Amino acid sequence: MTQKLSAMKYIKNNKRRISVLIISLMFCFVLFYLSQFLLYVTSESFGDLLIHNAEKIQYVSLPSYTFGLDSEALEALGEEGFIEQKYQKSMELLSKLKEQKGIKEVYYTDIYWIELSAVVGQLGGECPMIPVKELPDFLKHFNARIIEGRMPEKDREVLLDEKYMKNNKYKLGDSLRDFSNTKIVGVLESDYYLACGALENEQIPVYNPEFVVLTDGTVEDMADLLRDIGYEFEDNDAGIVDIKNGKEDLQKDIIDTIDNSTRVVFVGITGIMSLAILIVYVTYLRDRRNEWCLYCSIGFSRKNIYYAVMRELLFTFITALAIGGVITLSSMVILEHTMIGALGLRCRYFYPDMLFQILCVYALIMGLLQIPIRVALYKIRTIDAIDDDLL
Amino acid sequence: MFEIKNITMIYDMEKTEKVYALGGFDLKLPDKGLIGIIGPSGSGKSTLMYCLSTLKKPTEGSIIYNGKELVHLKDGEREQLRRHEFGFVFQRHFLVPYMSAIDNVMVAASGTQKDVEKRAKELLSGFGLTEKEFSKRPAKLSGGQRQRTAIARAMVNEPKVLFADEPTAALDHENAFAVMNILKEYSEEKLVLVITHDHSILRDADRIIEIWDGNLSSGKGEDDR
Repeated sequence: MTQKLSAMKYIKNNKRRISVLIISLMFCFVLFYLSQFLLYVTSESFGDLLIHNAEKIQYVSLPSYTFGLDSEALEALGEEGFIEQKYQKSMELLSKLKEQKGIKEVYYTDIYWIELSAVVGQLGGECPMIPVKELPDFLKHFNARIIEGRMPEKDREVLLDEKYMKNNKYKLGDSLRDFSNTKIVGVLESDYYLACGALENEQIPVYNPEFVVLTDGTVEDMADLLRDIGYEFEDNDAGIVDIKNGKEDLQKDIIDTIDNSTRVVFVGITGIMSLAILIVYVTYLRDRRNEWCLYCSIGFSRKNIYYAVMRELLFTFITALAIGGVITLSSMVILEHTMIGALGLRCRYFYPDMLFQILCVYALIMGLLQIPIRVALYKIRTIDAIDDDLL
Repeated sequence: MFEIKNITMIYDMEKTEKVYALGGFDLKLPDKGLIGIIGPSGSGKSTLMYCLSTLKKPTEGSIIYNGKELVHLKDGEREQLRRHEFGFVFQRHFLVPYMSAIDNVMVAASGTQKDVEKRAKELLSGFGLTEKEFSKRPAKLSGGQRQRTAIARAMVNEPKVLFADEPTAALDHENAFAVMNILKEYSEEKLVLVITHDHSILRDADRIIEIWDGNLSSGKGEDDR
């Protein structure tokens, strides 16, 4: 049996050097993956609010002209008459909506706002005021239950999901920020970013009425549905919160922004780390000239030496990947329990795209290292050539 | 074992004043025995060793080794020959600095890990290194121990030809003769070529070949020429 040049001998006897390479590569892994993880806490949480919530609850606010009411009507009817007229038309819309497939309930009501702050940015979530007697069914629709406090009984008493409570650091008895007339009386447990308040009496007619629509998850495009039942409007004039708009907002306002930031971080770090690793590796190779010269002189080919070096590098890269993976996973678990969960935010552990990108970066660095390795192999001389130089 | 005909090595071929390292001579070497190649610096003795060991190709002439023409061998065949049939002790020991003495011996070896380790230990023990010294790196060994480690590395594959270039140059007399005794013992079964400019270490040589300005001069056993 022919003995191969052992890669492990170099690794075992040059632990400090190999450690420097492993730590550098591992640092790349941890930095790339954790930055992605932290930035995507925003998209996971906001995605939950924008899309997951919209599968159960949607909001509609239409312009006056949709109901055939324009500035001339305002002039002719006066403000009070205009609002009354709009209310009547809105009630017609409400009845029509209730008959549509996929819609379970529609409320004409008032909507408050509650903030959700993520690692990057903030988003406003809706807090609709639901008639008191409807509240149990409303909670049932979300499979939500009160885990602390009580059911709202009076106007503007509010229930908040525990995630909202943590995110805004609210306590029972607090008012919603910017709405001092509200009072938090209970905490909910649900799979949604859920908030709702109580409306003791019927909603009085208002100039800009809003509808809360409870759906079964099959209504993706509320604008389309409204047009199908005869309500025409320009998208920009209407306020519609549905799955389609949620997806668009998430992609445009959040994911694209995060992706641009991560791309800058990714490219910058890749460039710096590749250069640093290349420089370090070149200095290591310089110290191995005599060793490789000996191998060549005693009968090992350049190919034998190259394979041994590649085995060393593969060991280094795989070890960095494994240790980087363990450190990243541990950090994600710790961050979820100490920071992300405590802020009522959502996160995801597995990002296949990022893993693929990290593997590409490793391949790039491995490719770059081929240059000094090939040059060093090309420069190998046998001992007779060294002796010639000494003469 | 070696049959050398009209071996010529010219350096600086492109220059007008060519340097003849080997001037075109014939030589035959046996299958075993301790052969000393002696001569002053620049006489061509190292060039002869490098040509015989396939590290260099002569400009002209032929080197037949066991019936095989070495001059026309491909690179891969030359490597195989150096790896399996030749052993080298260089003037500078060329031990790998980060490896222990035993790893330095094993680095050149062919065979299973277990057999190679056993053989390396036997060789180092036979050369007077203790078990404790097996795991020491070259920097922690004395000059004599380093050279003996280098000889053990050269012998670990039991090569048919052992080339030793100034193997005692960096050693004191006591260590020099100890090394020569090892080589002498090995030469009872195989061929050992020792290049030196020191006559005193060749007292046990079976034959001494003197080289002067790239040509054979005289020597013990010259009837073989």
